[in-house]
Amino acid sequence: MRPGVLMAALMLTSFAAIAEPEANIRVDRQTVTIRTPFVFTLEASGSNIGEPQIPDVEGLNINRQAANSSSSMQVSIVGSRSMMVKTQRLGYYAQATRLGKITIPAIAVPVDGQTVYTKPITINVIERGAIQQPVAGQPQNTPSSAGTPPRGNQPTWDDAAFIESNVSKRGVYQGEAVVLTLSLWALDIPGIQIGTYRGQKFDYPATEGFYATTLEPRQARKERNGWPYNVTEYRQVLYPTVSGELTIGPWHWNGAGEYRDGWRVQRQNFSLDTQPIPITAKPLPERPPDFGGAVGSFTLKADLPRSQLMQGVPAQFIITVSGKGNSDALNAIGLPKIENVQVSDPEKGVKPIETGGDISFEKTFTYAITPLAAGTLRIPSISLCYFDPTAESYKTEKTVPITVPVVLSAEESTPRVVVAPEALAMKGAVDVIGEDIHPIVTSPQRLRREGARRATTATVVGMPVLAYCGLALVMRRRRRLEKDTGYARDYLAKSKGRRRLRGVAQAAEPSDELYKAVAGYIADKFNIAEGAVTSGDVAPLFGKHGVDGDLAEGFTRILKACERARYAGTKLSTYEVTALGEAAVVAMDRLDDQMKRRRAR
Amino acid sequence: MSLLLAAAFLLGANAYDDTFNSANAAYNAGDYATAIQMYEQLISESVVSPAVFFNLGNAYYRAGRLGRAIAEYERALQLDPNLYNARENLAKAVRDTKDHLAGPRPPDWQESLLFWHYRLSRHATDTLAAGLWLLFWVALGLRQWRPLRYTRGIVVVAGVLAVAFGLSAWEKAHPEMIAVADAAVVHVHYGTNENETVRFDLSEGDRVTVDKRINGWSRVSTADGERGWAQDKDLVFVGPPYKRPANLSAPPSTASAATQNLGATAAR
Repeated sequence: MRPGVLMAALMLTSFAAIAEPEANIRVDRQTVTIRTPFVFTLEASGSNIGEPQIPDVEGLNINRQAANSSSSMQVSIVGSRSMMVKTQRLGYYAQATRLGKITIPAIAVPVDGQTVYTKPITINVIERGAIQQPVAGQPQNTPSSAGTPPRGNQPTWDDAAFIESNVSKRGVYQGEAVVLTLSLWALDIPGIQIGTYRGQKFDYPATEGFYATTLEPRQARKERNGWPYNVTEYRQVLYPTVSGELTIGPWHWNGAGEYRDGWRVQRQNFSLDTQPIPITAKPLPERPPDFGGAVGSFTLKADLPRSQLMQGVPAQFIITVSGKGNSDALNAIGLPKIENVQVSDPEKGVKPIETGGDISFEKTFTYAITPLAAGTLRIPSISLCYFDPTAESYKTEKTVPITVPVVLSAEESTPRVVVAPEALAMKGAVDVIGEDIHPIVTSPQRLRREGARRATTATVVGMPVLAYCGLALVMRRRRRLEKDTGYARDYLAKSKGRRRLRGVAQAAEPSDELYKAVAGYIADKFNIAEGAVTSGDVAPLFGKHGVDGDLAEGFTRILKACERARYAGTKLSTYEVTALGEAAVVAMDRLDDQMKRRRAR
Repeated sequence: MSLLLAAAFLLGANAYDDTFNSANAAYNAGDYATAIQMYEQLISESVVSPAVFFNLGNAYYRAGRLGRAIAEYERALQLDPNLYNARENLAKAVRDTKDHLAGPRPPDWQESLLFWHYRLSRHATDTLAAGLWLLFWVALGLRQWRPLRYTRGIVVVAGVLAVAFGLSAWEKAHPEMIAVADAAVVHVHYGTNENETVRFDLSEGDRVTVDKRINGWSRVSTADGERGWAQDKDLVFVGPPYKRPANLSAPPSTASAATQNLGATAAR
């Protein structure tokens, strides 16, 4: 026989040892919607796997033609024997035709001449389409206790999301840890999405009277009332900082849900609150003098990684506190005084450790210690006094003292300079003047009282602004006077008119000059040509501009008197000129006032 | 009337100088308690001068009141950051504290934005801000009156600089509140109650920033980020305002023993 054939024969005989045959069933989801296809998979292990006997299931249409099939082979060698395991997976499409729970019974699979059975499996069939609106009067979004029968075959928006807040303990000692767990239950069925608004900040409840540290959130898949949920747990470890009755405030959560069924989309906003949780914080018994505030259960370890130290060379000395409790209260472990050693301030590091539901920590204090003299360094025992709430008593953890040799550094081992004893004696007599403070100031700048800073600041800030505003107004008027003739004539009319009236008495023809002054004033006031003003024009002109009739009459009278003197040759007496001049001044003032009032309106 | 006012002003100034000189004489004679009383009197009369704070810091230092000394040096440096001697004495006093805790630093944004203003005294910043402000408005006014060639540039530059120096002046007038521990041990609690657990302790002279004050308690933060509540009575607030309540002006009686000890050291 050829060696190859012999080898194959040997292998075949050794494969006689086959693993125990078995069969399993699993579905791609536990909750399905009615008349929506889903896949269940049969998995059988053995060397010779036959066709599974799929039974008829009431309310379930199963396509017995396997939708997909795959197999894998695993060969293991134990001692001199080989073991072969073949696993075949067959996927079947199914569709539920009724609502409620449907159980696929045990399915028989022939494997290696035997018949093995899968375990029965139950699926939950829900209505396709709308999520039900909550029934009126039913409490909204309150968690039902686990084990309560499902309310129906369709979830409602009340089932879609709810929140819970729980604490690990309600009665604790001051400083003892309380784990606060805030759970957000979000329904996990096809088509539904529950979440917070974009950019929304997560707010923990008010925890006045506690010192809080926040842990990483965690997620889990849980079932309640027959519905599957994604549960996100937000956790805080709270340490009461005072004794008495304390309260963890209500947790408020805002979110939104969206249900998509084909083209239909339903949306729902959630605004949920939990109840406040009362916590009783008992005061600690009379505190021992070395108690620093640590509450919990702790272990203490001191470690000097080197077996030998060198004089003048720093080395790490690590104190590790681990356990459960308020790590924040352990600010520094008091290091006892060690002769001939320089100790730095510690570097602190905290590592939270979570195992199962337990939250503990490991806090390290790393000191740099520098031996100043050669010989033997002895670090005495270090202790930590803490209150153990379980034992309800104070305990003290101690480290083991550490002894380590200190050798001279390479440079120091062969001293090249020997200090004379006289020099050592003189050393104490030297004053280090550089270490003293600088002397007082004797001639400062003139001392003065700090005045009212606010008033000064307001003046410095405000005055230039006011001055600038004033200047801007002046410049604006100036520019308008330059550009707007009508405005300029109106603005200057009164002063120009008065100036001309003052010169009437000295004029060769006073009536002419008076006429020109009054007509010029009226022309300037209404921005018309001076020659276009006669006694007959005054009334229509004033009427057009809404000036009182009696004022128009006054001006007309003055102008008529002047015209009479001018054209009829009857010269006005000095008395008449003076009277008319005074009347003109009064009329001008009145016209100015009236026009100002009109403009103001 | 103006002459009378000027005379009163000058006389007042002379009275302050006299008190200052008397305080200096008391200091030089080793009578630190009297010196402290006189310097404090000047401060209570609203005399704000880096020299007064510096000398008071020295007097407190000699009297063994490390916390107060550090607070006074901080005040002097707030008014004049170029006061080299105050900086040195402050460093010396901090070296004498138990933990040599680092002083509070300004917020990062301020250090980046106002990096240039830390060497300027408060007076210089105020003067520059006011001058540039005036220049800005004068240049703007000139532009109104008669637009000249460079007025626009002057307006822009003066405006930008006035805003920058204004911001600097405002920051110097309203700095982050610093407090100094004024007792051998100052307990810093988790909350505003003596029964609250002690979070950490401050030693005399440790500097902290204060961001909140409620009913005789201050929320303090150390430079390395530790935070908690300490009682106001155990802290000296650097300010401004610098004027202290009257009951704090008098030096405490405990200072006298320390005064003698340090006086002897100084004499040596």
